[in-house]
Amino acid sequence: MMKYIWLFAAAAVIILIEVPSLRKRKLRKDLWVFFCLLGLGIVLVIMRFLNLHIPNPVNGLDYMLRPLAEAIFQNLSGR
Amino acid sequence: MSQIDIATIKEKLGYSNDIIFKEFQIDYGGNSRKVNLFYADGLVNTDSVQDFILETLMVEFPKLNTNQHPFLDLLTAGEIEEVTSTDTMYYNLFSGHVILIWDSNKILSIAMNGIKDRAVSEAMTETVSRGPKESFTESIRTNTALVRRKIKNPDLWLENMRIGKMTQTSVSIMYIKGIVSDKILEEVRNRLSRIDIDGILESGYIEELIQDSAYSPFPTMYNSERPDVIAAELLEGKVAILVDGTPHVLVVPALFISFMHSAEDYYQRADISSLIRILRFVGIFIALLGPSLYIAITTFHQEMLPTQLLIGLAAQREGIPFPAFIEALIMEITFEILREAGVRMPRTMGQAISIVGTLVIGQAAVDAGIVSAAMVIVVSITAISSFVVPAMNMSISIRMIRFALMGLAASFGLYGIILGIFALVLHLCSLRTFGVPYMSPFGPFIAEDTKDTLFRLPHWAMRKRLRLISQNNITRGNNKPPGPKR
Amino acid sequence: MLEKGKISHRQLTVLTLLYTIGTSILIVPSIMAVFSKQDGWIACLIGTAANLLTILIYSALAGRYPTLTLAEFSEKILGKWLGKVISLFFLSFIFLLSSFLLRVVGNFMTTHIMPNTPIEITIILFMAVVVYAVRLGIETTARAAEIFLPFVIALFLFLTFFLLPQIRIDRAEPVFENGIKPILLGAFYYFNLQEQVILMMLVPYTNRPEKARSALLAGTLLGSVVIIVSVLLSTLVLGTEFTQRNMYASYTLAKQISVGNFLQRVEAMLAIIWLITIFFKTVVCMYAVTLGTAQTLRLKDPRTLTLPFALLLVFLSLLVYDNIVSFVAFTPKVFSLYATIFMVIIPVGLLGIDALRSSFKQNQSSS
Repeated sequence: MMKYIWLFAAAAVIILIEVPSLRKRKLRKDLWVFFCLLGLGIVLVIMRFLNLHIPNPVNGLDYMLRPLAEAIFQNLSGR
Repeated sequence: MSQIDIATIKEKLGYSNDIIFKEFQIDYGGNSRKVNLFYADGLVNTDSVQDFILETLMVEFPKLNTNQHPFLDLLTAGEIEEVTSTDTMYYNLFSGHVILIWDSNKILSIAMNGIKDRAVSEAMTETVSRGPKESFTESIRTNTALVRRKIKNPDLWLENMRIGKMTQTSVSIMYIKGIVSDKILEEVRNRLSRIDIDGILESGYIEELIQDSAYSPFPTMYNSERPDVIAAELLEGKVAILVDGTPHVLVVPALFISFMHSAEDYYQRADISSLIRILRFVGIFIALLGPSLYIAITTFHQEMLPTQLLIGLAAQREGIPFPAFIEALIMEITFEILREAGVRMPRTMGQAISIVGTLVIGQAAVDAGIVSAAMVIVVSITAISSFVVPAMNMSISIRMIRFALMGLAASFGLYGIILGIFALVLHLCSLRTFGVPYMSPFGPFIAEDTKDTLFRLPHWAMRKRLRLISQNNITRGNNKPPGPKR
Repeated sequence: MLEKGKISHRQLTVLTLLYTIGTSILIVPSIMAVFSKQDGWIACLIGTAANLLTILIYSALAGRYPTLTLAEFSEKILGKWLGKVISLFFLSFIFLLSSFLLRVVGNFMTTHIMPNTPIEITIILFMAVVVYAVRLGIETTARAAEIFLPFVIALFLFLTFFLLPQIRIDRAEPVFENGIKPILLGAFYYFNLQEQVILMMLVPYTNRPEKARSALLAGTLLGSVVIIVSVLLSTLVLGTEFTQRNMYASYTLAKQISVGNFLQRVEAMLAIIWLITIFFKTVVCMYAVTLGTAQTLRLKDPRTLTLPFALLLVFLSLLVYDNIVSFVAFTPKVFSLYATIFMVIIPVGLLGIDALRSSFKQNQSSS
């Protein structure tokens, strides 16, 4: 439970720091992007708290690049 | 000028009995004229009023052929001006002028200052073993004179302004024309003129109202009560702000490094001063990090200590009921209380407090098993080290930050301390003082200007003024290394 | 311009130097020992040469658009939409790299300095200071870098000096034992751990962009010297076998220092050097991401992005790999290929297309 409280406290602090000045300066688009990214972050962290599976971008890279990487390694390792 | 009613003036002044009024008639140019004269008792020199005004008007005037001379020429006083607004009249009245109303239509203000000033005495806070001993007083005129005496040059300019709606405090900007950067000067003028406050009682008011960053623990304006320091700063192209009623004169822009310098550094030989400065930086390092390093190492990184020392410390800490952080906090706060008490207390009590202090924070606390002896050593060294910072306001900043670092050390060990220092350095680098980066000449690094920072080169080697402060007249002198002529 | 600050070319050199030392000083010796054995330092030399070469390409590219960052001129060269796609692709690389840096800090701290502190806390704490630096802007960061540089150099020289007595030259022999191939492999991996291309995001903010190239070259060269010395020392003092087995070989190396009975346990110094340099590397990366994103999405204030990005980065850094084993398996082999895309293929491609376009335009106007 504590970790949720911390997460929302952090989110609240972030909003308090950024939003008032953005609204004052009327930066609509910045505000949108800000809330989208923050929302994305909060959702992802909650998914992690709930132990839901989150695809790891590194695995994707690994899948795509591994064959070529191994080929380079085999060719150059001199074994 | 319309008729001036003396009754209105009396009413305006609330019939305060320190304002002395005198009314008489004199014979001038064949007519009898009414003269009203008043002044604030205590602010003017009553003997002079008697000798130079009353005597002249009552005794000399009737004898003269007054048609030949304008009236003003006949008064034997130095500073006489005709005033047209009542605001100026009141201001002059309270600055120690005698106000003379001639024939109910002309206001003359005659300077007769006679307030009892404190004499120029030895500097109390910035002491030196070699160097001038005099310090500023509460009178702005004495202070400007003290600086003028050091820089006898027509280019030393003074600009005066009155700040404070009620107090009408006189504030002067002092600089050397031709050396000072116009941008900085303009900035100082602008910021001073923007001040809107009822009263200025000390230069600290001005400092808080015009400094660059309101929420920084670090001072971005330097202050000194030594005329020689102010003269040296003016020669570097800085701007001094003198405030009437206080011996503390402000200097801008103030770089971080200048708070680490003492006046004496420039009077002793360069090698000695350089070594002393290095010693001072070691002291500052201890003052800032001493307790936090102790906490971090004893709590998290015992493996960093040599085994024997570790065993010794562990033996001492056995039986101490608190974690190192609480122990340090208790000691530090006790010390801060002692220090504060030492400053506020009547002088005669000092002895008693220091005895109690040494006994309490020294022997007794260790014997009682509340703190360990090692902690007493750490806190005492830290406390002494914090006094090596020559500038009081910087020393206070370091004390405050020390507590923050202790907290970081207690929760995150060395990692916390390092991150704390990162944040601290970043903060320092983000500061500016009147447009000049606070950490220059290190960040941004200017090799030319580092000659008078961590160490001090001899005077003959310091040929240029600081580049970021003075762009106009940058050459200080052109000396060869001294020695017999070859 | 979104960023109003300006840095001098000297400050760019300092930032580049710290950036280059960055992660490498801690993890490169071990990687080099694994792939190139005792010839790791030769591999580093070749990698450095490759690095300097790519900087020439980057500066040629920057010279064509001296006031624009990579995120901006990619749109100029490839057109609005394709340019934006390439920019975002590039930014995702920096983003991923930043999360790796964070994770490396967290891992090192929790294994060696603060074993009882959760990795999340160490990462969040580090991120907080990084965010502070990014929000203060590049000018402040550059000044702080100038202040830290002397400490980094002094500590490094100190460590090097006290390791000299333990050097045994025969540990670096035989040279070229396995031919040139393993050295090239090491060089390839070393080259891709430097990511100098990200520094391109700073070039438009130097006060004299024409000097940026020499600044980048000098910074990279000096930084590489530090890395090469630490690789050499690891080999000469610890030996190849021992270096291979220690992921943080230079830290182990600093533990070897022992002068008399009083100068021991100075490895904290190496940790400090490394923490300073990786801090500035992370700041530069995060700065590049926020600035680049703001430029690509046409936002007014990049500062807005710092805190949400910080949250995402902390999250990503905890996600990117499960344990140290998968990190070791991924970083040199696969990450190097991934980095090559951004360090070589994209810049060279942009330069080629831009050159073609300008020559095409010239032909058109002349005919």
